[in-house]
Amino acid sequence: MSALERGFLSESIGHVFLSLVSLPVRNAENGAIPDMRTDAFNVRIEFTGERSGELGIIVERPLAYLLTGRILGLSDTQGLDDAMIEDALKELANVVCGHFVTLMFGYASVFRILLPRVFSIGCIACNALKNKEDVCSFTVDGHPMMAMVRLR
Amino acid sequence: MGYSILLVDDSNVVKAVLMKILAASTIPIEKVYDASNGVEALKILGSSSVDLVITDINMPHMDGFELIERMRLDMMLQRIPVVVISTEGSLTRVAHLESLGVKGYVRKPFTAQEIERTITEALGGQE
Repeated sequence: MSALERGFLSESIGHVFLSLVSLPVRNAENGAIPDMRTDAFNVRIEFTGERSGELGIIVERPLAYLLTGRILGLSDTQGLDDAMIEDALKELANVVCGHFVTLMFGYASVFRILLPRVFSIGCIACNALKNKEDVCSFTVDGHPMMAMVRLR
Repeated sequence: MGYSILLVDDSNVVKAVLMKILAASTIPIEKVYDASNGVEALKILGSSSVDLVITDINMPHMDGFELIERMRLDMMLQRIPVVVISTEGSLTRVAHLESLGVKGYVRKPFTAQEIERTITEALGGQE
């Protein structure tokens, strides 16, 4: 991931999280984020157009509950199920991706953003990813989060 | 007497948020229908009286562009105002939507005020 891609990815996530869930996102240098302690949701979304690529966001379960509750305006997240959480994370990734391609390629470029997919990923695998060069690390309300973008 | 509004989005979360915004708005609403894609939307439009369609673009089975294009080709549906809510930022895409007669466009993430203002304008009312 180039410095430009990294910068635009961070900016997109920061803007969307603040707008959509009213939570500031802190960038963490060199993967300096707390270990994930639960399994996580790995949301992937592809885009095609002037350039093609894929954007991913990895969110541990407690943060996923928090984000979904914030989107839905719920103070109590006990009743949330995985389907609702996956739906909310897909929407979040969709909006982040829309902003990323606009920042990266401008308003004149036409992109098709494909339907997001959500996978489950264990915390050990997540924690092994956080020091990778092509992964951006963040904290949101004290929770670790990772994101990456790959252009083809 | 209020408006009947059709929400078209594959995300139940987005539909839930929009329903909350509509319920809290000053827009008089009689009924809110919901569909998960263009195919479902056309079925509802074929059997119900709808005053306004609010649709996403990126959906499975039939996307928002095709839904709007099909509505424009149908004598019974072509006059129903459409508002698009999407992540699309491309000016070319927005111009295409305008050429299809779309009455309003809101880019995600949106605020409740943006939604209410755009719907009010699309329904021909004052802000």
